[in-house]
Amino acid sequence: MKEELLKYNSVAVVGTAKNVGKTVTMNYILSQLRDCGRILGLTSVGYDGEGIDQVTETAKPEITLYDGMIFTTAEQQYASRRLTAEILEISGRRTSVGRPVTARVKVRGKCIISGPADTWSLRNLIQRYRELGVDLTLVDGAQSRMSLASPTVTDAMVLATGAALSANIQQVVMATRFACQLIEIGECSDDFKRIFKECTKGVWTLSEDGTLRLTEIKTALSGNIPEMDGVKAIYVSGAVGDRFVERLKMQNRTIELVVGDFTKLFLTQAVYAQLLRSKVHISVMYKSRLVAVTANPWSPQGFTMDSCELCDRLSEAIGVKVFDVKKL
Amino acid sequence: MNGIIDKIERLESFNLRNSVGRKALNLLTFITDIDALNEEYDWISKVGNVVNDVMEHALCEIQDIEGTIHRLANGEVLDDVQLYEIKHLAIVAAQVRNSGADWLENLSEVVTILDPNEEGIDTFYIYDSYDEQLAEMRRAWKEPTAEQFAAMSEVEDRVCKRLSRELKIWSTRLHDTLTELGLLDLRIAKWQMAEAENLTRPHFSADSSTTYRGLFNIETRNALKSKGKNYQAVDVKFGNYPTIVTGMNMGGKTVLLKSLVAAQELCQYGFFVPAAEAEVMIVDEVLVSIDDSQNHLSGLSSFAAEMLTVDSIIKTTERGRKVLVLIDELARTTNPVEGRIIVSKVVERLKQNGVPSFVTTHYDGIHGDYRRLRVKGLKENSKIADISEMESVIDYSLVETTEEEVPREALRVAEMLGIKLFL
Repeated sequence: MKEELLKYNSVAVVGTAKNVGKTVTMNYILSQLRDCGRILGLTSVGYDGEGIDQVTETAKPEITLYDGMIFTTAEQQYASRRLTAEILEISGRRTSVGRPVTARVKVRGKCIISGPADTWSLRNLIQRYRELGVDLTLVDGAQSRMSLASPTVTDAMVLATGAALSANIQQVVMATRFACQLIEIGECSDDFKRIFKECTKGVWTLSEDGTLRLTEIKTALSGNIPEMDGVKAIYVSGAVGDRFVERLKMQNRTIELVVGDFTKLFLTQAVYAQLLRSKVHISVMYKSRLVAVTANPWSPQGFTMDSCELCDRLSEAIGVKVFDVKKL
Repeated sequence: MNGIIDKIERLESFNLRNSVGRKALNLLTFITDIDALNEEYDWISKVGNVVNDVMEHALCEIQDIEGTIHRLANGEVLDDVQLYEIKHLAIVAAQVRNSGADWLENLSEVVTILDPNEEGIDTFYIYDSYDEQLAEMRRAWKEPTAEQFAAMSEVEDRVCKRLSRELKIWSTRLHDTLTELGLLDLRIAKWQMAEAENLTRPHFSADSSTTYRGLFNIETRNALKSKGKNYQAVDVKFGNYPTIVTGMNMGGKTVLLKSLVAAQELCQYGFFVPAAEAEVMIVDEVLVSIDDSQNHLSGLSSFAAEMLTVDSIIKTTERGRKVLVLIDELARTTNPVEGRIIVSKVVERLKQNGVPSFVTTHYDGIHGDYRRLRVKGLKENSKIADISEMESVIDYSLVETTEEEVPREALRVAEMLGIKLFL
């Protein structure tokens, strides 16, 4: 996993659910990369109310940071750190848990990492890290924030999954495979990329004769679909929901549906399966790169799956090596 | 917030670089002391001479750390985040100072305290060199346990305490520097706005009069400019007496009043003014009755709202305050017979009280020995193809007149606007 990670400038660690071992995964990655000779940067999708887990009311877990790593966390979390660090910058942006502090680790230790939550700030931070000499930025993601794994924000991703998703091993495998399927959706042709690159807001159609048109449809989250006569491709700049896809599929026409990237797809497994069998072909402008999948056999409800079986079945279903977080 | 400040902030040419500059803007007051105003204008010119990219860039880095400085002054122990803030301020202030703002306090000793390794960069932590014991601990414990970490924290706290004590005597100078940096930011913004909008430094008249040559309204001029049109600036002079302004509809009477308000307020808030030349008399207050739109909500008719406003203006002028008064189309919402009486009474009172004031009106027959200005109005044989060309056929300049009759051009204007009823 180490060599694979070092190919990228930024990698997001995201989970399929809570308690799937995201923090264990992050700690493992950091320990693996500690002596790699590169400068590592770390941040986490945190503040603006996420300093503390809103669901379970437990504090975000601490991450172990090693000498020379650069991290950004909220002032409050910075004050309660258990490591020695040199303050590099304090942002002027104020949040409920104080300003974001960026620092370099002098003596290893633990700290709760709670960085900017919106993709715009995150993108800026990754850019700022590069200016500070960071070679690889790792982003610890929140479960509900798949958006930070968007290829427009981070170059690649690590997916954490596990028993917390469901008590049934088959369900865990299915749900994880579905997540991977979306991540693995292929890119559209270079022609389409060139044409749709300039399309910002809205739903666009491209006809057989090459005419590009902005439709009146405001959102692809509802069941309204554009006029289909002579249309060979539809580009949706925003999110796409089940009803849009279902209606599109019912038209029974050969058509390509292009979206920005997989984080724009808000589809259920069943609808996606139907889509794959239909004449609608789906593609993305920017494809995500999945570096690795980790699995956690332990569930917060108290039961544990057979980790060998879990990892084997996951590997078989998604075709990449799956790491057991308990053995990391 | 003050109306003129809001308007300034909306200008594209007015830009502050940091929150202390914004604070300085919010603290601006209406200045009535000529020496204080002249001093401010001197500052703006001085700042305009020294401002450069390095200075502007450094000013963007300034953050408002008044709270931290206050804690330092109170003898509290600052933590590493707060010490970083102090160091950052001292280093950035030195950059600003070295880039030309040589009147700023020299804070190099603050930097020395917080940069024991003489690295010259604005990062900070409790350096090993602060405490031999701390250095030893860090050397010995590469992967400290919780207890070891607590022991190190204790030593770090000791260092923080010592540094806070050493820095305390600098708190006043740090505070002053922060304030000065805010003023500098604001003055750069004032200078750049003056440059971009062609504003001029006002002078103060020895006698009680104001003279503008080439007075203009910034917003109106910019709006016209964006349509590729020219704005006709006007010359106007006034003293401690009322001026009745008459002229055709669309003749720029309201814009004139707004320009006079803006020029007076900009001047006394310490800005340069929108004119080619300006000699201004200082007033205590500017009071206006220009449009009644905000009064609709209070349930008053436009006439009632206007009367209450005018009444309060008159009362203020009789309280011994020097007030510049601007009233647009007084009593326009009532019948002309009584409207004329209201205008006469108000103007007469303003004259008795020696109030520098402007009252625009369409009513004629305001008898009396008053100073009167008339907008020249439609040029000879003017014809337009479209409403948008209207301003090309109007001469907005003001002429002194003794006529009590007002120009009769309303029907012609309506006709030019293409309103069928009158054709």
